[in-house]
Amino acid sequence: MGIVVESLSKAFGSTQVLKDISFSIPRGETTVLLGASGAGKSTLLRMLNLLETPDQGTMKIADMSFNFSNGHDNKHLNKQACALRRKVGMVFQQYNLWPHMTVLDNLIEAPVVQGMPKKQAISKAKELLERVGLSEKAEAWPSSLSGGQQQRVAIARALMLSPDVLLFDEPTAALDPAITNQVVEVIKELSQSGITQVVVTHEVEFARKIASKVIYLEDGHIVEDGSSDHFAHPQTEAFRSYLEH
Amino acid sequence: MMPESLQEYLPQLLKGLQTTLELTFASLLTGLVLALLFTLILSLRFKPLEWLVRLQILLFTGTPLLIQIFLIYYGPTQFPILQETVFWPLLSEPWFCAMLALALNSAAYSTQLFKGAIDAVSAGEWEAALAVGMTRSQSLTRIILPHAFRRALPAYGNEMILVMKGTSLASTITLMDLMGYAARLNAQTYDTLTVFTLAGLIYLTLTGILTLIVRFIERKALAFSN
Repeated sequence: MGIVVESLSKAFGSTQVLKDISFSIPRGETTVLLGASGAGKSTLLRMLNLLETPDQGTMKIADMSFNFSNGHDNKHLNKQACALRRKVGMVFQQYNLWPHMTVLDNLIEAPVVQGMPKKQAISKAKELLERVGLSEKAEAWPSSLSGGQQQRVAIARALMLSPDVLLFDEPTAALDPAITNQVVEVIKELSQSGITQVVVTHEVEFARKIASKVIYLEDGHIVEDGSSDHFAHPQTEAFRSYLEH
Repeated sequence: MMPESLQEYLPQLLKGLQTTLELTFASLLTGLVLALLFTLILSLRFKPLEWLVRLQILLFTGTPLLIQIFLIYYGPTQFPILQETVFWPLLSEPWFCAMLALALNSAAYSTQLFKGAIDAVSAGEWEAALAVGMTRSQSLTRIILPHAFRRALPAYGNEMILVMKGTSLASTITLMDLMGYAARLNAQTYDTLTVFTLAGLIYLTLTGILTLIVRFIERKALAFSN
């Protein structure tokens, strides 16, 4: 089982951002959430690791189940959110590296806090840095790296906890088109390792390169949901016209 | 200003140096500990305590340091009940009262400074910490505070210098610090210009040394931002 979401809704004040969202993602797929800005795709992604709390619905992810429909106790939810986030990593548009820590310290911080021996954390960090092609940057400050390099460090940081699921929130939106390919390579390589990935983007070209499954949102609804074949053969007029513009 | 009078005054003034330095470091250290505590209370929003901290900041940044020193030193003598408590030996001691006033004053300003630095750390850094499964208090103490304190260091350096200069007010409650000896020497010699110029030069030297130390720490602590 990968991710199963049923009837999720979310409102910010009087604005209904997500309306009755249901989908399921099998383990190991790389799913792209596509849509114009304001469609609710980032909010949906942030619910998958509980950075946003849904108002309604149920969610099964990384072998944990959540039911938001009968209200919830915040303290209990916070605890569960912490446990969930150790299994569901996240990569942000603005990388969000901690600027006052070296690349290596950015990587080992969370695992060490959570009880991994420091030596083991360091050797794992070095492995991951090699995997994203940044072995020689372990001691560098984040500010000395290019955007593409910072994003790869952020991916390595998210991988330190060996997550079952990795979420990407517009990972290439702040990058040069030429640099985007660095991130494409890493995501492709990860999809072969069997990790479940969910990527929010509005860049169709980037989406085509990485997706094995696509979900298209418009105005808080899922309009189209299917395999990557849907890029070639869209089922709805709305998705067809989104792909064309 | 005659060289021979310099030779005569300097050893007199330097007798007060130790008190000035002790008062500075004790106040800074106590103020820093309090400021850290206050900052945590404000950042984690502990409700009733938060209001107390805000009141403390209002009172101690809103009134002159000299009034705070006077009230802390002369105030408790008006309440005989206090004289029977275990605090009396401390509260009747000018050194302790001056230290307490300076520490509370510095804590109020430092808390504002630290809180400002924490608020300036981007929300993304908080989210990144939460997203790797840290709790809010782990995120605050392990990621956000260490970053914020580095950012606050240049401003905190100024605060240290203000406290050091503020210790000169302690002479008004009979404490014999650098300023206390200068005032006594002035009363004895009426050589006002020389005595206070010399005292001023000693404070200036202390400020210079403190600035150099802070600069050195800044270079290490802010290396990441270059």
